[in-house]
Amino acid sequence: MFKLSLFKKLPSLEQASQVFAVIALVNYSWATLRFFYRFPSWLFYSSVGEINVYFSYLIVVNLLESALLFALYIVASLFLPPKWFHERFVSRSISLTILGLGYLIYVNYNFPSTDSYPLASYTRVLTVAVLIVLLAFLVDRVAFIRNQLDGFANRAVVFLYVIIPVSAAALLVVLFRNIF
Amino acid sequence: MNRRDFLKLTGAAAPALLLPGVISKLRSPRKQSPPPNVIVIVFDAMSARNLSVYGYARRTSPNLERFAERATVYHAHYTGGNFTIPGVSTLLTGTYPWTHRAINQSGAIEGSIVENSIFRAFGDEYHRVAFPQSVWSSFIVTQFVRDLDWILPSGSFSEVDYLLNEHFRNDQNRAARILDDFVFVPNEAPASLVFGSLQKALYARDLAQIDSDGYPRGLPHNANYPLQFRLESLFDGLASLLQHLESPFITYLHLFPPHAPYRATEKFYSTFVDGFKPLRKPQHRFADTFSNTDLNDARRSYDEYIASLDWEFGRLMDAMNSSGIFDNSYVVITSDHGEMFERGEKAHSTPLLYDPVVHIPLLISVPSQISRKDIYSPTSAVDLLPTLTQLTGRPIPNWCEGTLLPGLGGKEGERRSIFVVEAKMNSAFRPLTMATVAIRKGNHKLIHYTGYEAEDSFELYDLSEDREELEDLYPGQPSFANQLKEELLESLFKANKPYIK
Repeated sequence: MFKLSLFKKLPSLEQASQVFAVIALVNYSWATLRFFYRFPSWLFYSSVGEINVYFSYLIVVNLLESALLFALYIVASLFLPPKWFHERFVSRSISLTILGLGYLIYVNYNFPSTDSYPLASYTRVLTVAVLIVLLAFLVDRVAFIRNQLDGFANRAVVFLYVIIPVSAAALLVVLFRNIF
Repeated sequence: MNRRDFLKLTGAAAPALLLPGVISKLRSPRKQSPPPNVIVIVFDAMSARNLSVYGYARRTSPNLERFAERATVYHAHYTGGNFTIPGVSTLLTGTYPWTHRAINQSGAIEGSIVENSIFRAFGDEYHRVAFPQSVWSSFIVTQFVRDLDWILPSGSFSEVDYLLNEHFRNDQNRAARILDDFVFVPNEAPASLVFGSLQKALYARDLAQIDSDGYPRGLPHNANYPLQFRLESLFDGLASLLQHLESPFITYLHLFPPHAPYRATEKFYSTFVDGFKPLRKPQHRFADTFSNTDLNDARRSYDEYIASLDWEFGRLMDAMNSSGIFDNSYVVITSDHGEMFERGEKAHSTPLLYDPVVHIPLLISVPSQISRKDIYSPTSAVDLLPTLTQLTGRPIPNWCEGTLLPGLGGKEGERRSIFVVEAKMNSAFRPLTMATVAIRKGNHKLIHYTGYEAEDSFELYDLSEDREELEDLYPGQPSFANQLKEELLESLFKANKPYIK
């Protein structure tokens, strides 16, 4: 009985792909931006093949972190009361993703050095996390925003057609280089 | 060595022992008198011009002076390039930067040259071990992974270490270049938003909490990578390592200090608040624009850091002495490049090739040497590989561009030409068209700047009369200026030829 109720609390494939697409879209876009920031200096001394290897490592890291975030949302959906998360799986996951990763982008752009890195303080991390969760839950209550988020997620799925094959190829490259 | 260091060392040693080469070394019966060991210790960014063993006004290196009493001291030794990548590559391949092509920041040795390293030249009769504590040197050392029995992780003997490349044993070089130098680099926005931010947060928290007792300016560390260490732990670890290596071995120990940031120990902090006034030199048009006050302050911190390092080196030397390592080992002390505090330029990220940034120490102690020998002929980092192979009874590889060092098989007083190349803004795949190249021949040094301005320019110095390189003789066009210029341009043309399409 318990197993069945847990199973029911899993998101549908459509919802899952929408959420994963948004997480990956933010992560991969940021990483690609950083990649092209460094790209000119690699051209000085790296062949196209080597740059492909660099890109593969980057994509595998992005894939793993996207999978981790996605897994956190699945866990939240399974174990939080359905009204809190499962029933609004797409909009709540997406608002958490955009706010959370958006904050990380803000921090990393504005505090490149480790000397004053805001996330080094537990108190600050906890405060920001609570604020983000609260904001995500509040934002979700506005029907207009919720509809926009759902619409965005729906359209973001198209990126999976690029992200999944690229990630699979990158994973193969990294595994091949580290196993053989 | 504390418990943590011991665990780190044994943790690193365990996988190495699984390597077939190491196992065969351990199984093979011990010979009566094994061939001599070779220990190459490289101090990153140590300029010969700031060492009292080379006559510097401040007493920065009393222990190197002590080492010199049992060594051959080279007074005009030059690196191949003015930062780690070309400097290390020149030392380890015996070729100049225009040949090995590791000329860029984080650059790499050209594929075919990777087969031509000092480790390959020694062959598997020797147990070949490298410790690239400097992460930049690990970018080069890990290119030679097939010719090394053991690469100690850069974070060995460290207090804080978040480097990842050591976990990718089959692809360490690429992992270092992409993960440690890009995805998780701590002083830039990391390319990994989640894991990168997490790693950066943990590292920043460790930095805030770490005990930096005994280091008034904070613990020594590599500014670009998440690694913090204490000099005393580093040298304790090295002493233990050297005592436990199976003979015969060749070991390349590339230590990060005294590279910036300069973190002197309490014992030497403020030692050189002494009123010493370095010679003021005019601002160079290609240099940064640091004030003389800034430069003198940085020089003082650098000198104090060298003195701290030298003190630890003295302890290592004593440990090596008591364990008899000097009796059966060639011990080489050198650097990959120098450091400068003049003409508006601080440290070594510069197109300039004045002596402070390219004149490096070289002291070599041969087994059981008890007296000092001084060599004044110009020598180059390309000479180390042929000399060490010859000394240990190996043929000198034909691809090597160096010759035998005077006093160790070579002749002193020969008028040979040596080169230093700086081309970090030039593609490694193209002819060197934006570069600084220096040629040293006899007492003269000609510096050629190409690609920076509309017209190429030259500077010429007579180092016997003008050690500080203040009087440019080139405008007077002495006869030897043209000879040197022709030779330099011809060598540059030859080096560029394979890359001209």
